[in-house]
Amino acid sequence: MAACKDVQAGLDRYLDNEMAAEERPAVEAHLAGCPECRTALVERRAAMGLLAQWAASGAETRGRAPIRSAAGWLRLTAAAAALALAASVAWQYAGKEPPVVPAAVPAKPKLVMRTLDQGVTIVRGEAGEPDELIVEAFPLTWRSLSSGVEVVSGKSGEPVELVVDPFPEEGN
Amino acid sequence: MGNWGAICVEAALPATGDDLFERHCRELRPRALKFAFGMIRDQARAEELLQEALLRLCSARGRYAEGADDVRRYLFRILANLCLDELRRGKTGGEVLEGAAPLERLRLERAQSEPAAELERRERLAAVERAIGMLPGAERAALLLRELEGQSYAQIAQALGTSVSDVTNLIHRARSRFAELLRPWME
Repeated sequence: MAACKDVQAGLDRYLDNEMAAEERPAVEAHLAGCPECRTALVERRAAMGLLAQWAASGAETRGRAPIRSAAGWLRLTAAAAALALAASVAWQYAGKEPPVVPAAVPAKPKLVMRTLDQGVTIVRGEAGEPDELIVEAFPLTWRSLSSGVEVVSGKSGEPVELVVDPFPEEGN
Repeated sequence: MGNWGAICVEAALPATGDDLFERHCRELRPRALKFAFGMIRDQARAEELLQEALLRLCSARGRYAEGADDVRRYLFRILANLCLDELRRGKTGGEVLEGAAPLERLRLERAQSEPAAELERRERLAAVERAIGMLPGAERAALLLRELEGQSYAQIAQALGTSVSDVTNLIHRARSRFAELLRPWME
């Protein structure tokens, strides 16, 4: 039977399927009878499981501010528009002229933001580009959370826009 | 396209007119960014290095086959070396501590509204990140290429410009250290 030292030195090749097929039975036989080496194997698997969790996590843990995607903003915009429409209809039923409802998201320049350790910064912006972030309509201060952002100060005038539920960055 | 990653790829890659190549790059970008962040632990710098890697990948077209796997391997090869160069210059990358003790289960300050499970998850991920930062650069690169990308030892050896035997040793040392550091977090 192989010695513990030899088996543990080869555990990674075993786990990674880098070990020749003819070597594997001896390792498996040793593992079957050696709790210490089995523990080493289990710990390696557990550690790689933790690494996989980290790899699969969308948000970093060191202050990275996730970016709200255009789709996210569009969802908010749609919600605000729906509220405005409902208010308008209700006003009409009351026999009054509907108030002038400002656009929930005015046609402001759309800006691209990038993440920093301590927050976000605007990198470039150009009006009319698709799929970018609208920030000028939301003069808000953000604080990064692990799975979203939280409004710390500022007000855009539309309470619905302040809803900050987790919204993982798409594709990351 | 709805995220910074995709926008970034578009900014980095000149219009090639090759939708397939650009699609490969877009698909790879989130994983590549994660790898770069794991390597140097500086998000802004990781993004810059990935930009650089994408530009080099683009300018080197014709020197490698352009199947999805070929593009992936070539990108990670460029990126790994950019990150290792960055670590050698000592600008970023966190600490490498010889004989570091296992990472204790330190409690982060708990926000009132934060569920305990979410706090636990964040603490665990933070510990993993710190453990990655405690590995020497080459070990870190080998382990991340293996675990994030599933690359074979031969592919990792090619990416890092070393031998399969060296990669075997790098991964063995990296996993041993990593497991030791994270032992308190294993259930």
